[in-house]
Amino acid sequence: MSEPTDIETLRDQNALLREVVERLPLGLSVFDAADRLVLANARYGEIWSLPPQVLRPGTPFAEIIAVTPGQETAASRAQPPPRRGSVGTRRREWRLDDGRHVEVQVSRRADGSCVALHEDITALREAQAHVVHQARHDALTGLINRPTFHAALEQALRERDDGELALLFIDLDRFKPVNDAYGHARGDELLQHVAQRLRGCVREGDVLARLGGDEFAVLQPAAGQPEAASALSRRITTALRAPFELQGQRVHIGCSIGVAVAPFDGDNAASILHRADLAMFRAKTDGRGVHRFYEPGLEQTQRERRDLEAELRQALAEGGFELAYQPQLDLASGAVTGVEALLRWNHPVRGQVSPAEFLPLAEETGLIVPIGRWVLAQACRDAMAWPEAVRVAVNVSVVQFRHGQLMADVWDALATSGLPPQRLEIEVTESVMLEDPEQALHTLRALHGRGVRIAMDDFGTGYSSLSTLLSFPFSRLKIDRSFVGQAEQRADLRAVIGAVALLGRELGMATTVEGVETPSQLQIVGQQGCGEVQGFLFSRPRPAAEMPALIAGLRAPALPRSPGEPPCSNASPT
Amino acid sequence: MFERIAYVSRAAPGVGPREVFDIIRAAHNRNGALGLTGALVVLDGHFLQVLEGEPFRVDACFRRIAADRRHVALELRARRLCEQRLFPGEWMALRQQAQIEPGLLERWGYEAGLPAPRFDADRLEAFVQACCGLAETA
Repeated sequence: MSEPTDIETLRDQNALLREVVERLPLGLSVFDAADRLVLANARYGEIWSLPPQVLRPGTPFAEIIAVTPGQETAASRAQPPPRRGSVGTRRREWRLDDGRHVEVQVSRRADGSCVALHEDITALREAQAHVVHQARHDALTGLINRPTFHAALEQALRERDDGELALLFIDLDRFKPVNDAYGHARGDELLQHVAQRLRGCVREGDVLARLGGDEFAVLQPAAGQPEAASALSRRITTALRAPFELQGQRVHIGCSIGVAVAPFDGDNAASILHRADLAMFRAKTDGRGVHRFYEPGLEQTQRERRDLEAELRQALAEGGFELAYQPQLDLASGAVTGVEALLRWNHPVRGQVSPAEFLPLAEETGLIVPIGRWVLAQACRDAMAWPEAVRVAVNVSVVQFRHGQLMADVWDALATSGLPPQRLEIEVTESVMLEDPEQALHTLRALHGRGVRIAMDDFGTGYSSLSTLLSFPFSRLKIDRSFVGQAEQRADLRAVIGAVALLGRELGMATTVEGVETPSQLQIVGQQGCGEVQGFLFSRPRPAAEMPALIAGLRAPALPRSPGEPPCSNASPT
Repeated sequence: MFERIAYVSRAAPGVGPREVFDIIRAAHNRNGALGLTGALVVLDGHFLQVLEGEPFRVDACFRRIAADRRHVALELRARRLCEQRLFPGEWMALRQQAQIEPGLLERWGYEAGLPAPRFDADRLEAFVQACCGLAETA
């Protein structure tokens, strides 16, 4: 009497299998050879959002497909279909109308029936998409990153046909000081604001990317070049010129843009990027805040600059610089009261290189900081060999102020040489006061507080704002050589010299006229009431070794004073 | 007070799209800083250019243009002082054959090189403006 037991066993087994099928975390469906549903668990219906009536055994597959809310993905459809009557397992993937992804593993059995397992893989696909997005985008700004941009550029160049394509290389101006002053977190915030403004500048079809740091780029596949790129560049420079709000403070940056255009400037991504980069550099040297197109010849210019920069570094390391000194004479006593230190570069091949040729590059590259440090140290050392009544004047660049090490460099030079601070005069131009007046004034006051004198150089050129003069107790105004050069012929220039001398007297500042070359020029500046003179009439700049003899021997002639002229006073403290 | 010049010239042999691009990008690299504006129309191998700005800058630039080997047979049709620019904000607009609708040429009774008797200073300037999509007063 085993039969009932067998049936019971089968029933138990059936119930067990039923339960197993229902407990599977996957959807399960079985179709017979005629593609009619034989078996399905509840999860199957849930995953596909199927109505219960189609889940009854006997429902044709076509009927289920008809009510399935979604489509097979393109990638899945692209798989080759199985041979008819073949046996085996295939994977297929559907995307449902609600956005979910479902993967199906269909196993066809020898009798033509098939078993399918269904899984909701939405989370997996989202994670994968996220990883791909992460790999292609810059996490900070959400813009695409350099490798992706490079690939987009290559593709655009391949598909260009006859069209034109501009690449804008955007580099922020003054980002580093902001980043240093406000910290990296605020710097990052600023970059996000920049990205947002850039998004507002580009048009549909343009590709905007962050290449890294404070560098961005736009790919503009537009006809009508270079005008289209010029217009886009102007939108961008204008947008980034407006101040940014950072921690309640207004921050001004800006950008320089270099543009290269395919096919004119090359047809591969590397050369287009390189040339846009070169053009960006040109925009920087043309004063920033502008855009420049690549032009043939930029490579050459760039190479020459690189060579010059390398030679400057070498000169700095190997003692290639020298100082020459030009005496400054007091018109009242006739004696030499100061000397100005002037930088000379004795190039091994080119001979004497004019400071006008290498100083701008030294400032741009920041090399002026170590060069200026050397000048201060050497000038103070040299001055120790001269009479105590003689000052040494040293020119200091706006870049040295910006860099923030100037005070330390001055103290070092004074301490190492033993020169009293009162014998050192720092010559600054007005640009120092214009760029960052607060920092400049802070430095000047600290120097002045220790007894170092401060002279305003090149007065009368540039802005020559009176408010600049009033903002700090300069000990001296140096009247630019351009005034005295034609003073013999022009009454207006004589009037300016006289006015500045008067201004100096009223403000308690000494006045020195540079570039005095003839006796009549000397007479004019004397009559106009200037206190000191400097120029070829007395001495060209000479090596330090000649200074003691020059200082001892040089005398300015006593000037006849016309009645009514103000007395020639040198207001400098004795 | 600005100065404005307008001229017609013929492209030198071998001067094509690349050379035209060179001319315009160089203009865009310099004109912003120099305060020069204007437009260049390239039609049937001829250049029609209007250039305007500070008299000193315009003269210096025109000397360079006159010496440029990329064109020949230069005819200066206009050189005069003016109160206002025709192309404010255009560092050098460029219009070539494909960008100009044929209807416009017909309306203006266009002829290659815009022969002087029919295209005097005013008409040449107005034609260049029209090609750039500015007020058409044919």
